[in-house]
Amino acid sequence: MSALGLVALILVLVAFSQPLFVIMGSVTAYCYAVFGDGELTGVIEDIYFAANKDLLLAIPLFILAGSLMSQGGISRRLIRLATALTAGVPAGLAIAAVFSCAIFAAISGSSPVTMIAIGSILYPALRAADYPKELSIGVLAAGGTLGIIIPPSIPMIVYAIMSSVSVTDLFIAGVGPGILLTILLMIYCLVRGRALPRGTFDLKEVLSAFKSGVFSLLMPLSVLGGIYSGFFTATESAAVAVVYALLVEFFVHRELKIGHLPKVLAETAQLLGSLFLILVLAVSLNKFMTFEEIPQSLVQLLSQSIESKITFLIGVNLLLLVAGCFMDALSAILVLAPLLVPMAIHYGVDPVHFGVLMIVNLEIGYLTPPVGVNLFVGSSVFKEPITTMIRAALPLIGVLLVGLAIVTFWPELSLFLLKK
Amino acid sequence: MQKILSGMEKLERIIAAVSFGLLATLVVLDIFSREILHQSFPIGPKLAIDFMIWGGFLGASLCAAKGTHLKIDVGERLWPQSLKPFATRMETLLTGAFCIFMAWLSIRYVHTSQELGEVGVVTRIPVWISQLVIPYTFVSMSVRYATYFITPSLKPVPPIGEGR
Repeated sequence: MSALGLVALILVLVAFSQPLFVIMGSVTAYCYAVFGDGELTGVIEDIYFAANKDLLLAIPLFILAGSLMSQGGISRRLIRLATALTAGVPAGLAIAAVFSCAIFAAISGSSPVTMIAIGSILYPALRAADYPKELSIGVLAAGGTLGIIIPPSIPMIVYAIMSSVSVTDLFIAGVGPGILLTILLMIYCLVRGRALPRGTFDLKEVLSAFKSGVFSLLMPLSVLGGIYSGFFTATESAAVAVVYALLVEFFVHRELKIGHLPKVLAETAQLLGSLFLILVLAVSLNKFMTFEEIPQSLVQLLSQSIESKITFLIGVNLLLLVAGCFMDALSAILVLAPLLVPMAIHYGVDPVHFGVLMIVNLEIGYLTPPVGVNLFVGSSVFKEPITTMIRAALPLIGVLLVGLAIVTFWPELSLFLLKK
Repeated sequence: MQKILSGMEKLERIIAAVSFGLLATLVVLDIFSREILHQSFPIGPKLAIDFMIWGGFLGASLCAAKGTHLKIDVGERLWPQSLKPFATRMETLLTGAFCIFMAWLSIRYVHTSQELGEVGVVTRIPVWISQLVIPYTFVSMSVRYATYFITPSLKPVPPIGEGR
């Protein structure tokens, strides 16, 4: 009866389009009141303790570093370099779009931001160079999704908090799949655009573009290099990224002014605010569920009907792909990670590999209707109807699904850098 | 009422921006102190967390002001066109009711914390100062959603790609 009440509560809140923090908070309060000791101030106490985590500091710092770098002309510089490098290749401009998205992803950590930054400059260029509309849109929308798999990635930090795995390990594990998906998208561009006219490779332009964009390229390298070498923790690397972004934008690119800082800081606060409340409420609910051994009971229940690791992996991929159609990546991680990670461990899946797998699944969700964020953002940025966006994204979803299958059944791709 | 809401938003924006500026400075100072001066600066990260709590909660309040809280918007598609105004009004009412409930709980919690006289282990600052932002945020959001319920035209429309 109490469980039915909980389901009814969730259905009513979803039917009335409640923000996720209300759903998460109501469920937490209901669990404390009905299944716990009834002392509801415990919810606030848990929220406060959940917020008191060192690791959480990495989230605002990475958001801030990304915002600082995005203020200047970093996307323009990266695009110039990528275009110069791929000028002699068939479909070079489309490949440059994927390459620019991959590098920008390693700076911004956000899918829609990556697509807007690169797409708003490259879409007119692709169309002017007679690239088909659907190829241009599809590549930019799919390239944008790389934002959450190529580290640093905010969803990875959130997964790390919810599943108690090392965020450093997750960042390192994201490198292989990120490169794989980038290569798959580039191959798609080559195949689809092989008949398109190619430009002329100009070494002088490459060197000039490299000089202009070298400091933008060095940022992800220094952040990832610091983490991989063990020199920085995730939070420290985020702080270094902020300092690096400030120095480059103030003194090298000279595209950021002191007067821009309050706006950037306030935007960071708002971006974190959309996540913070849900995150601390989810941690609070997670603590309650762990105390009541709910994930363990779920594992026992499901292990009777799911017999093998492969069945589990196929089932979980389908579940996450469906979840990605209706929820954004952060919400899905906050809701599903605490329930799925114990099951993954039970079936012998490494929790770091599972985190990468979860994020690749939810990355595809950025392209799937009805809640594919990149479809809506792209429709607005490229001024194209949503139906055109969906048609353009369909073959790219297929490409990403191939990548997902490889990531799922080849764990070494994610874990090889951790086994040094 | 619109003026009061704008004033609140401006103030929250300033405090949140200052909090994030101080947060970043303290974390950088901590690394500098450890790696360059080889001295520990334990108060830095602890204060940084307090500033993050302030910035994060005020950020949540700013999301209510801009309509950018994350949502699973399946519900919006369930309602027939004729019932949509009712559903939107109910949506605001439910969110507001939840915020009032959380405001009440957090006021009780912070009051207890103040009575117990708890202080931070490293900072020695009373913890209720850091916790104060929790009831403030829920009270601020309650005021906003109550206003949106009474005057739906003031309810912000989120930019595309946000608040979903």
